[in-house]
This record gives sequence, structure tokens and C-alpha cells, in this order.
Amino acid sequence: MIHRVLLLFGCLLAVAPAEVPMVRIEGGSYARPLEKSGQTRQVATFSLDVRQVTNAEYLAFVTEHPEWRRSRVNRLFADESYLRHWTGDSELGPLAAPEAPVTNVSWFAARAFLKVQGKRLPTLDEWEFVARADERQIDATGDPEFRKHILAWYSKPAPEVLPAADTMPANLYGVRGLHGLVWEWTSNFVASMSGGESRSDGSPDGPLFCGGAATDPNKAVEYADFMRVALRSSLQGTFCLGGLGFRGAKDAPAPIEPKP
Amino acid sequence: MKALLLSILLGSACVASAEGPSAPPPDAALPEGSLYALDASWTRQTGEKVEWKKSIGTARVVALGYATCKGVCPRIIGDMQRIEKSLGEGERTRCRFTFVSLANDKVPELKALAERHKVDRAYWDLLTGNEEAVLDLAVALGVRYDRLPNGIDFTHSYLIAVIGPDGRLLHRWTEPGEGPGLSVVAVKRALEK
Repeated sequence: MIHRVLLLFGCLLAVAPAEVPMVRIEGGSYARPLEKSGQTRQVATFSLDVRQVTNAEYLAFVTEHPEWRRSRVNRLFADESYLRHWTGDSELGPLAAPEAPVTNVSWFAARAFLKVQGKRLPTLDEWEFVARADERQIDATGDPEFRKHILAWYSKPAPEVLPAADTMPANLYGVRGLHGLVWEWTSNFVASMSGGESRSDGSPDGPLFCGGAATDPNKAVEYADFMRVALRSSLQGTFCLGGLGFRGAKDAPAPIEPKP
Repeated sequence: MKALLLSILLGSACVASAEGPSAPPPDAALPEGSLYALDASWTRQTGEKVEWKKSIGTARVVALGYATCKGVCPRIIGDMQRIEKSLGEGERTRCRFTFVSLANDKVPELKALAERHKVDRAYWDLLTGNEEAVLDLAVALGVRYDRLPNGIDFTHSYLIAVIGPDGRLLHRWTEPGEGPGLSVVAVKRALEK
């Protein structure tokens, strides 16, 4: 009996956590939050993880890749808060539930994790495109209930120990927890440039930004959109934060038979 | 303001923990946080390959932009030339003026850009590389940028960074009004050692 239990235990240890399942997202165009009205962005068809990467999955990664352990990570890639909620280098401890989304991970760390799996971070537009959906509509942003639901989460303090990533409700695509659990890294978060302190429309003096992707001040600002843009524009690639995790994405495979 | 926002948005989930023992960085030749730890290979305006990691021992004055930019890029290159002019000959030879393309510009475009600004090819690297490498460098330096919906132009922040011979980030010139003074001092100090 004991042998059998040990054997079973051994098997469990040997099996690396499976990769996060993905769903296909049909592309389309959408208006990026806070961008000039009438301007739209194209999103190509792609695949997205149905949930965030968990502490257990990230632990398996740092075990395989010791250069990403807490005690060894290069400060170029992650600040002092990296994996601070874990008990040790390879010990999760009471504040990091195995099935909860991993947080306190930098953008560089998230990219390194996903690269190993042949995945990448979703782009800002991919993430926002999917995050507009509720359980019935592709674009629920016009629905006051949907907005209220998101804002209710934004105003709620995060629990000390996060719940499991796969317990969150799924949207129409089957993607869980885009709102309501943690904030998420996007590959090009640096595209967010909000705030008055360093923006102008290319005037020759003062702080400069080329081009014209400036926020349209005349458009009524949606608070939830503003919060996400404000967060992204505050981030640096080395930041590790208690409420910030990530999930993977992938380009859609090229069609086998191109349509004539 | 930013710090406040972040602490409101995310602070509540943070927990305190003791710092683990610090281990030496994986590449002992580089100090912790050296930008020369980034894995990137670039192509220069002359068509030569430039391995970023081989920059060790050379200071770099670095900016990101693109060849057809009519906004802030000409000014950035002009400001880099102001830094260049303030250096002595001995300093200039140990410092590379480095302009990295955000837009996957090709060699002929970089070459035309070099000619347009009459940059001294002995000291200037106008570089292009793959999207991943550009993004890594931009994020590491704190450059914000985005491709505009027209697919051609970019919006991007003003930044001229000074990197020491060991790859450490020594100064970031982010407000055009600051002038080249602090950047020049940073380069001179780095090369004194």
C-alpha cells in the first residue's frame, strides 16, 4: 500500500504541469481605449491562454531555468520584488497558492517563461480586444452592467492569497479572469503613454512625442479604460507587483489551404 | 503621481518578505543590471553585423527612433551630435553614438539617414534589428513607443541614454530642454575610470 502511494506520488512529481490550454480568437477591428474617436486598430486572428500562468507552473520554470530563480535573477530583468510572495527560491509557501496566478513577475520574466513554451505575451490590442467580451457579446463595453462589474473589481482590495486562476468565470471565448483577478502584462505595454506630464502633439519645444496618437481630451473618458492605460503607462519592464500576472498568446497557424 | 497610482492599484496585494541571499550575476564579466547582458544582434548602416554583447568596454550614447521620422528624431540626432562635439578626441574614440531603428528600417534607409545628418561614420552606429530585440532594448531603457494605425509612423518618447563601458545605464536625457551638459558629464566620467 505504502509502495503504491509512493509510486503515485513519484508519478505526480515527474509530470510537469501541462501548458495552459488556448482558445482561438477571431480577429477584427476595435477602438483602442482612450484613442482618438474614429481611429480603429486591427487585431489578427490569434490564440490566447484561457487563464493566467500559475505559481506552480512558474515554479516548474524556475526549477528548469535557475537563472530565473529569485536569488539569481539579473536586476536588469526584474526588481527586488520579484517573486516576493514566495517563501523561497523553490518554495511557494502560504501566500502563493499553486493554482493561483503567479504575480510579482516582471515583463522580462513573463517573456522568458512564454518563450520556452513557444508562446508570447498578447499585444495590448489583442488583450483589450478579448477583454471587451462578456459571456454573451464580443463587445460588451456599451453595457453599463459590464462596466460596473469591472469597476467593482478595480475598487476592491486584492485578497492576500489569490484564488485559483481557473475558478474565474469565462467570457464568450472561454477566456477566464481578464477582469476580476489580477492585472496582466502585455507585450507592448510601452505603447501606453497617458498623463499630461510628457505629452504634446509634436510641438517643437517641451516634452516631445512624435505622431498623433494622443488622447482625445474631448472624448468622455471611461474610467475603467483610464485605469488600465494609467497602469500600463506607469510600468517599467523590471517592475514586479503583487497584483500583476500574465498569460500566453500565439499567432494563429497559417491557413493550410489559402482561399483563392 | 505614478507611484501613488501604482500603490493604489496594486499595493494591497503586496506582502513583505526577507530578501534572499544575493548571488553573483550569471555573467561575471558584467555588473548587475548591465544593458550589455541583452541578447541582440544588429545590422549597421554599413551592412556590418554588430553583436550587442561585444559592446563591453565601449560607452554608448543611445537613442531609438526611425529613419522617416519627421517629428522628434532629427532633433534627437542633432542633440546626440551636440554631445559628440563636447567630447575630446580621445573620448570620442571610446564612445559609440548609437541610433536604433524602431521601424525595422533597412540598410539603405539607415545609410540615407546617416548622410542626411552628416554623422561621422567612424563614431556612429545606426542600427536595425528584429522586433524582439528592439522591444527589449526600448523597455530596458524606458522608451515608450507605438506604431500608429497608419502602419508607417510611430509615436515615441524623447530619450538619449548614456551607457558606460560596463553596460550600466548612467544617464537618461528625457526632457529636450535639459541640454547636453549632464549627458556629456556622464560620458566623460565613465571614460575616466
